[in-house]
This record gives sequence, structure tokens and C-alpha cells, in this order.
Amino acid sequence: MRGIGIVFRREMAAYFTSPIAYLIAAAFLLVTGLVFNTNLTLSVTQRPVNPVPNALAFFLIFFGPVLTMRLLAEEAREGTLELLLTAPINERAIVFGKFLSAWAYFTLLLLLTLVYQVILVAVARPEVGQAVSAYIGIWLYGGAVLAIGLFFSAMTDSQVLAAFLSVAALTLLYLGEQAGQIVANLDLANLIRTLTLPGHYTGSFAVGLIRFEDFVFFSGVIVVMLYVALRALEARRTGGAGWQGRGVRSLIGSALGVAFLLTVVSGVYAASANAALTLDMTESRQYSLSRETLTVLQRVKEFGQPIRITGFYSPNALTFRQLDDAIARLYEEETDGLISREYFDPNENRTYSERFNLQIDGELFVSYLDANGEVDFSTVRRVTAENSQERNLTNAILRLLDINRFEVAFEVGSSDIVPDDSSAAGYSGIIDGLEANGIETFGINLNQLAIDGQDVPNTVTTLMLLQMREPLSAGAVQVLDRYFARGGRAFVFADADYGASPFLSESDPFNAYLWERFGVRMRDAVVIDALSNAGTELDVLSYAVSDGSTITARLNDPENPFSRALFRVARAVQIDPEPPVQNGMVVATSPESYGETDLTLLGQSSRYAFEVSEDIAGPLNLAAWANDTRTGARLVLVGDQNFLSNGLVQNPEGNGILFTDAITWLTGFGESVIFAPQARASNLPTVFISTQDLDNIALITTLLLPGAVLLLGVGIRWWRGRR
Amino acid sequence: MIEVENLCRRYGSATALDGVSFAAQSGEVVGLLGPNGAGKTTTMRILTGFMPPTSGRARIDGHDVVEDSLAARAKVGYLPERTPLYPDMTVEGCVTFWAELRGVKKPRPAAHEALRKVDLFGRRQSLVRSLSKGMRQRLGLAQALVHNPPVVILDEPTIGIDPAQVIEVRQTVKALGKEHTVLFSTHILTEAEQVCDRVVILNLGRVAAEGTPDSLRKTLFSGDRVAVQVQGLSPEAALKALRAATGVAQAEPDGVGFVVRGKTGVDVRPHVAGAVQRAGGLVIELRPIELTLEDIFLNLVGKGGN
Repeated sequence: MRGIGIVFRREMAAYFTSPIAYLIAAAFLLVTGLVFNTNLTLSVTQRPVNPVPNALAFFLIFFGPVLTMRLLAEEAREGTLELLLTAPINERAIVFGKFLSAWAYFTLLLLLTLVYQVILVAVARPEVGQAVSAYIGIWLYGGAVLAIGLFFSAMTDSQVLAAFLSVAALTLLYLGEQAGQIVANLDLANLIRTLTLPGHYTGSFAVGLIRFEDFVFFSGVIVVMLYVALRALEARRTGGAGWQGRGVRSLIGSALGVAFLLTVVSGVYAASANAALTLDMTESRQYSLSRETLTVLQRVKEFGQPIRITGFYSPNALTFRQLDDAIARLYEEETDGLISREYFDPNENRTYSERFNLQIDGELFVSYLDANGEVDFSTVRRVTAENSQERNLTNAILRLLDINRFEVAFEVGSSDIVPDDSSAAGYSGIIDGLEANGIETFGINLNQLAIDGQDVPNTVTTLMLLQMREPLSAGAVQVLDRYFARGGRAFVFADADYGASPFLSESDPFNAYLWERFGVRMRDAVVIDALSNAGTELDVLSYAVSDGSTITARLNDPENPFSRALFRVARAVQIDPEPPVQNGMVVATSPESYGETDLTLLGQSSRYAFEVSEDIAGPLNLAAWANDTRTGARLVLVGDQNFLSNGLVQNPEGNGILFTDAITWLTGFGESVIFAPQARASNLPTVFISTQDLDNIALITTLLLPGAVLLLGVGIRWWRGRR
Repeated sequence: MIEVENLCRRYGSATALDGVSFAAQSGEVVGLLGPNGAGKTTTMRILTGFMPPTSGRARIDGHDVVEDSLAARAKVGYLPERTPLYPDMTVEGCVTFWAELRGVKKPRPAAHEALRKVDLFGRRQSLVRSLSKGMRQRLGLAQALVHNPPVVILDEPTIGIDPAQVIEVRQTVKALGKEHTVLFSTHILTEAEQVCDRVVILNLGRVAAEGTPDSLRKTLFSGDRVAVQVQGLSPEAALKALRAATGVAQAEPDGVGFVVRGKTGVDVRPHVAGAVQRAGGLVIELRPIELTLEDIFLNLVGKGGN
């Protein structure tokens, strides 16, 4: 179209020669610079995100109208519009040329902010893909904002009024994303959110997910607003023709045109939303299905039982719903609908949500569907919120697939544990945890099995010997021997016990059996650690952990002080250096530790002292593993059981990690839960920068950069003013 | 070059134009004369394609301003009443911009040419905001002429500038008539007389009269008025002599002198001079009185009333 280029060039020249435009640019850089620096300071303790484009989603409410208010309103006020409209060019050329110039100027401002990204790359390891996605998003977002601003500039002769109306409209469009807070109806809130600008940015572009539908939305806003601006400009020709003849015809024409455009845009939008064309820009491919998930979904398809993902989101949690659904719909597509998804408003479906035992807004559940296509509540698995959404969801589906595949039996004959009673004090935490992971728990009585001449059931994947109050009978040991012979696995806990015949004392035949069978046994010695402890020398913190073992991969993470395990009055474990099967250390104490053998003194008066002749010099082992690769039998032996008690299992985190990863290794759950335990990296500080450098960056970005732009503007003003 | 047929234009319930028809031939300078609110600007806005008429037709060089608007607009150079310009552009940049918009092949040389025509070439690097009112007016003319249009439409180009500049602008407009068809509006009768080949008088949205300035004068004015001052005669004697002079329709005292109105088509000045001399007096002032536009319109409205 002839004229677009000419109008565009003149507007660009106007931006570059006008001191106001430099003032705007300086303000723009100052605001974004402040946002960037604040975030950078925070990033010393948090992973840096892309603060600048995200903040712009808000600040564009003000910057957009400032850039657009003069475009047509000034021409109208100055009268130059009369000349433009009598020049032999189309109104479209005027509207498009002006719009493109504003967008180009905004693009330049946006490019200036890439300075921050360069700084970020220099001092940290930011997510580049996500930044690119956020920038593309805010660029389109800005286009829509400018189109809206241009429309209001076309409506009036007053720049102030144009700016005011634009700010008002943009504020509404911005706050609409929070519609859930005032609109009770979920569908209505969702519709309103879909109509807002941030609704197509915060939940997608900003987090590294490029969705085609968002492109359609922003382009649609631009097209519709430019069309309306065009009609508003044309209406200036008809002047006060009002409610007769041409005026009415043009009004009806505009209305029909807008209706037509809206229909087309919403049609394309709906189609694109349905097609769900997305581009995952995150480094960790957060919004794509990983190979591991695809393997799991293959299992789902082979099994053929329909699975339902049920989510509960109040209107407040719509952004989360969008983020979660971006993942969930991939599962539905991959399984051709075998996995389906359904979302509810927990406030309006209270009874239904209670059946899932919903605890917080925004929770997801997976379950099988019964023959009627209804949720089978006996199979409901909660999707935990620990890792990435994909990881959480896949793990939940795995737990669903593994229903009843894993059974952990607790020895109850010689112990005080009551596994069926989850309210039981002491160890209900771990039992609930196992159940929540789809692992069946129940009790068996080894002594009784020996008397009845029976074996440990074949279904048992791991046997827990926890809270044992007395040694096992000789028959029970034989039952265990047969169990190990066919590949049984056991998690055995000993503890300091000052009674007459404690479990796994050096004289306990089962202790001798373990030494002979696995090359590990308990010593009658309590660990005292002067270096690695939590206050008292009897509260021992894991000092060393084995390298390359899945059991200890997450323990003693140097970045996380809470990842050490805490043992309270623990006994030493001895490991045979020439073992009959593979074995090794799991957790060891520091060199400044020793094993106190005078248990009588310790038990009666809590006093202890190292005696070279009697006590065992450190470092000592607190836990050991053994793996009989011939039979498949596995054993983990720990010299403490308190660390699993309700009070300690989650605090410090290391205790829970040790238990989870040990049980994962023992049950083989780890081979089926494809996401092997992984170092937790996502919340770690990734900016390593000195205060001095932080100050320098702040100086450059908030003072020098805006100041330079301002000076440039003043310089141009002075230079032009001379003529 | 310009054809206007039965043009009507309403703003809401107000009628700005009510069946205006006129035409301008190639190379003609046509003045659109009328008081404020007569419909001059509306007519021009329709002709330049700024707004469509409510009914009626207007053509520029054969192109209908509604049906074939872009072609019609390309043939017109337009200077709106307020001389709108971009204050932050340079003089040269401004004219070049309009040259580009109007499809001039080599916009910069064309802009220089136009600036030379209006004698602003030396100021081409200046910012528009630094120009005087008269210079702006000339710059407005330059932008209207830069694409060498066959039709130039100027809306009150002499309003609000100082007398010396008024004369300059009038001369420029008159010169334009050699190469362009010029339609320009004014509410100053003498201006129209000096510059125009033909005058169209608008009043209340209608063509009140049309013709060359001379013919209009003859049809509209019942006679010239002359201011006379006499020495050597008593006022009564002077008045008597004046009234008796050939061709005098009326004579009244006016301050120290007299106002004499001649009969239609007669130049009474020689007769007045002769009559005073014969009566023994001496004429010390004999000055034609310009008719004001108000007089003419009073006249026209009076006619219309009849």
C-alpha cells in the first residue's frame, strides 16, 4: 500500500528528533533498570527469571499510551490530519504506517533492554530459551497495547484524553487476568481471563511456552483495533453526519466489519487453541514430554484402562490451571484420549472435592475410570508438587500403574509396630508416605510363619525390621534365610538398647547370620561424634556418604545443609572388607568419632569417654548396604531407627531422603519410577557476584544508560534548536 | 477543471451547503467570496476529498471526488485555513514529506523548486516552529504546490498575516493562475477583485452571485459612492451644487464633507468636480469609497428577499 512507508518514515523521524521521545526512552530504561537490579539482588538467593519483560506487562499500561497518544490526536488538533486525509493515499496507509512506527519504536526500546540479558549471561546462567520466549511475548503484547492506544488516539483531538482512555482500557485488560478474585463462576472468570492481555502472556510466553493461540490472540487484537481505528479515522471525514444517511450507513458498516473480524479472529483462535500448537522454549523441556514419560504412557496404552486427570482450581488459580493444562493436554494427546482431563471449581464442587481429600487449591489427581466412565475412587493418586509438572504427573501415573505391585511388609511378631494403624505414634509418617506412593503396607509375624512352617508371601517386595524389641527366633531367621535365597529384600534397623538381650546385639544369632550372609553386622557400640553432630555428640549427622550409590545420591548435598541425615544414639555397623556378596558403606561418621562400648555407663548416666583399649576408633559406619547379585537379595542395615520417627523423618530433610531412596533401591521402585533421584537444582542461587559488581551494574543500568539517552535527547534538541 | 453540481452538505440538522453549483476552467483564478459560515470551507473540503457531500457531485479534472477520490486528490494542492504544519520538522523535510505522499517521483528537487517559488529556499534547514506567520503561510503554499497540481485550493490564505505579506501572497496567488486552476476563498472584496478572474459569492450555503468582479459590481451595486470635500462654498451651497450635478442620485453631508452616490453605471467624479467649480468652489478631496462586503451582502440579502 503506497504511503505506509512514507508515513512510517515521518513518524520514526518524529520519534528520533523529538526530545519527548528521548525522555520516554530514558524513563523506560530507568524503570526496567530498577526492576532488573532489584531482581538481580534477589537472585543471589533465587534463580534469576526474566524480570524485565514480565514487569513490562504491567508498565506497558503507561508506556504504551505515551507512545501512541499523539499519533492521530495531535494531527487532528494541529489540523495536519486534514492534509493527510486529502493526500492521495488510503486511510489504511496512515493507520498502518503510524502503528508500525510506534511498534518499531517500542521494539527499539525493547532491544535496549537486552543489555540486561547480556549482563545476566555474564554473571549467571539464565534460561536463554525462556528469555527469548518472554521477549517474543512482550513484543506481541506491546503491539496489541499500541494498537489499542492508536485506536483511542484516533477517537479524539486531545492527547491527554487519548492517553487517559487508553490507560483506563489497558488497566481493565490487565486486571481482568485477576477476574477470578471477583467473579465466582469459573467459566466466566476463565472467559474474561482469555480476553485479557496478560492471560496470553503470564501463563505461556513468560514461562517459556510459546502457544500459537497466543499469537492469534495478539494479532487478532491488533487487527481488530486497527480496523476500529481506521473506521474512527474515516468517521472524521463524515464529521457530524450523525444519525442520518451516510453517518448511519458508516456506523452499521463499522459494526458489521467489527463483528465479521471478531468472528474470524475468535474462530481462528478457537481452532488454534484446539490444535494446541506449542513450542517449548525452556532449557529443561518443561512443556514437552520426556522420553521417560513417553515410556510410561506406552505402558498406559498397553494396559488400556482409561485414566482421568482431575484438577481442582478455583477462579483464583486460573493461571496455574493454564500452566498445568499445558502439560496435561500433552498426556491426553499422546494417549489418544486414553488419559483424559477434567477440571472443577473446588468451591462449587465441594462434596466432589472432598472425595479426593483435596487439601489445597490447584491440586491434581490421577485415577482409573470405572466401567461407567466415572472416577474409581479406590485408585485416586495425588499428584505431588515437588518437581516439574511433568515429573509430578508422570510419577503419579506410575504410582497408579503400580497399584499393588509393591508391598512392604513390617515384621510385627517381635516389634512394636502397627502398620495398619496409620495413626500409630512413632512411624505413621513413613507408612502414610509409602501408602501415598501406591505401596501397600501390612504386617507379618516371622515367628508365627516359622511355627506354621510357612514362608514370607511372594508378593512382599521389601521386609521392614523396624522397632524390634527382641531377637528373632531361630525359626524366624530360617524363614528369612529362605526369603533371601529367593531374592528377598530387607530394610533392617538396629538401635542402642540397654536391655538384657537386644535385637542384633553381637551375641544375637541373626547378627552372626547377617555377617555370614551379607558381610555386615552391628557392633555393640554407640557412636560418639565430636565433629559432625547436631548439638550433642550423640546426635550424629552423616559426615560421609558413599559415592555413586542411588541411596545416597541426594544426601549431603553441599548446597543444602538440610540434606544430611541425623541419627540419635546410633550403633556402629561393621562391614566385612572381604564380603561374600557386594556390600558397602551408606553413611559414615567423621574421623573425630568413636564407638563407645561401655553401654552400661552410657545407659545409666549418659556419660562416655574414649578408652583406647576398649572403644572403637572412628570413622565408623552408621548404615551399610549389601546386594547379592546371584539371588537378587538386598539388604540395608542402619544402626538407628529414631531417624524414621515422625519427629525426625522430615526434619532434617536428609532423613526422609535416606529412607525414600533406600526403600526405592530395595523395592526396585526406582527402576520403575523413571525419574531417578536427582540433585535439587531449581531453587539454588545461581548468581555469583560481588556486592561491588552489583553496585557497578546498578550504576550502569539505572544511571548511565538512561542518562546517556537523556543527554542524547538534550543534544539533539540543542542542535536542532540552533537552526 | 473544477465542476460543482448541486452540492449539499448537512451537519446533523444544520445545513452548510444547499445546492451549490459552479465551475472553474483551466488556468482560471476563482475567488470564493462570502462571510463566515457561508460554506466556503465546506465547499473546499468536499473538493479536496476531505469529506463527502451529503448529496450532489463535484469533479476535479473529470474525477469525481467521491467515486474516484484518490485520483481527484492527486490533482489538488490544498492549503487549509489554519495552515497546518509539523512544527518539529525542517522546512525542507516538511515539503519533501508532502511531495512523497503525493507521489512526486523526485521529492527533494521538487521540494526545493517549490521552496524557491515561495522564496523560502534559504530557510530550508530551519525548523518550522521558528518561522514567522507569513513564512508559514508561504510554506503552506509550497506544500500545496510541490506536486505541481493542476488545481490549487487555498482557504483564506491571507488571513492573519501583516499587510506587506498580504500583498505578497496576493501576487503569488495571481501568478499561480498562469499554470494552475486556483480556487481561493476570502471575505475581502478587494482581494477578490485584485486576484480573481471570476468570483463566486456564497451566502448561507447558496451561490448568491457569480461572475467577473466587474460584472458583479455592475449587477450588484446601484452606484459608486464618492467622498467630497469642498472649499470656498457654504455647506448649503455645496450640497445644492452637488445635488444638481449630472449623474448624482443622492448627496448627503458627512462630517466636514459630503457623500455622493452616483446613478448606476455612471462615474460621477468629473460631474461633481465640474459642478463645484461652476458654483465657485474648489474640490480639495474627491475619493471613491470602497464598498464593504457587508454592504454587498445587505444588498444581496435584500435582493433575495425581493
